[in-house]
Amino acid sequence: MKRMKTGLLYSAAFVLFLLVFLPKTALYHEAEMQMKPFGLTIAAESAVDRGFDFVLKGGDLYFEDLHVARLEQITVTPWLFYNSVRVAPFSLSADMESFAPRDVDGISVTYSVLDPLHVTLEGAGAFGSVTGRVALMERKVTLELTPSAALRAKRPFWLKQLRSIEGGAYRYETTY
Amino acid sequence: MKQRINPLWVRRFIVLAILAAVAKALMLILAVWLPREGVEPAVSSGDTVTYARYTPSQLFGIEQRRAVAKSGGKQTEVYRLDALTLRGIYLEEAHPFILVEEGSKTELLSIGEQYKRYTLVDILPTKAIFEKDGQRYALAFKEESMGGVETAPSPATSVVTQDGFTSIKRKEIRYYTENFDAIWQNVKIQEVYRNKKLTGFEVKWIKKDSIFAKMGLQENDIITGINGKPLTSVAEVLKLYKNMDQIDNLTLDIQRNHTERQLDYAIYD
Repeated sequence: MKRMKTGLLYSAAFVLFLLVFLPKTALYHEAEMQMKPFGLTIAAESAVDRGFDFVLKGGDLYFEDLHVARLEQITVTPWLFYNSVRVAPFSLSADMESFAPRDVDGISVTYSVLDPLHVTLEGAGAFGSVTGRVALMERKVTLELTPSAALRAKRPFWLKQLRSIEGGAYRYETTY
Repeated sequence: MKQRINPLWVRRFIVLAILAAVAKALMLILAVWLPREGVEPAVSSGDTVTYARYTPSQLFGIEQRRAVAKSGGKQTEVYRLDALTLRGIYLEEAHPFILVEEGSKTELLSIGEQYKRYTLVDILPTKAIFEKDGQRYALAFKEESMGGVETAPSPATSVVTQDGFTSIKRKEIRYYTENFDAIWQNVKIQEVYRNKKLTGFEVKWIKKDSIFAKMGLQENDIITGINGKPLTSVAEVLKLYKNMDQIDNLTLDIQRNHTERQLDYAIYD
């Protein structure tokens, strides 16, 4: 029993060492490569490896060559069994002002081994709130938007383009 | 000599150090396979489309046409819904709907839908008719709520076709670039993908007599390019939209009934 306990402790320590020594900056660059086909890039950011997580300070988010937002901080938690990317409050760029309210309270993207076939997304801001789910096997993205009163008032016809679902929310689905 | 350090702890420390070294070595091997540098966006400078300066208004002496306001419907109702504010009426043929506001709450209602037990039964050009307990109620625009409401009817279209040449006033283009939502009052479009790549935008619905209808667009047209640039990404469309009020000529590449054609327009001041 004691040997088993010691073995478990050493295993836990080994996992912690793996997490600490994980080449997070290089993994982030790999993630950037994976995002590139979707047209998403982050420029002018500075990466800080904090041991168990990883922080990107500053950075401009581009959709292809269109400036979408200036990001203050992105916290990446690459724990293998639980991975998340949290984007701190930010404002969309002036170029995007025509399309959506600028202030975003935050966005969180999570992947867990407890639900290995899906990536979940949550976000909120002046536009309202959005939840999303990426079905990795089906390569399908589903977003559900609950618009704020401001968005309902300013973009009622744009909202009509989306599929209305119960509870005053709207659904958008696409495949990739 | 008396031993000061417990050998068990020394052994544990050595094991942990070996584990750390192994973990570090594994991660260094992993790092070899990962990129050392990130991706930078290829930001193009300025507008991506070149346009020739052209002022057909000077050539043809075009003046903006003004639409004649239509008269309202019957006014036989007695009661008014003062708690609600009518923010917009949308007389789409198939699915007319209205936008109402109460405090900070805004609702879109189609005929047959209920709001606080008031059922919307009819939509007229200047008011909406509700019914409750067999009694009819009219909800009309309040004078103070009319100015600057984005859901108000779009401006009279300035699209003019003369000698087979179509022109649009820049002011109207600017209206649609500044009022993103006004576009969706007049047209419904949907992305078209082939082999999971965006190839264009299909016109699913178009409002009769709208600017888009007068521009010659028809339902089921697929817009595949603008000013010679294929619409292969949403970002490209957003950039074109953003710069739309700065251009002088506009060419839409469309697929209609499986044939390719171009629609050309001049934009005049």
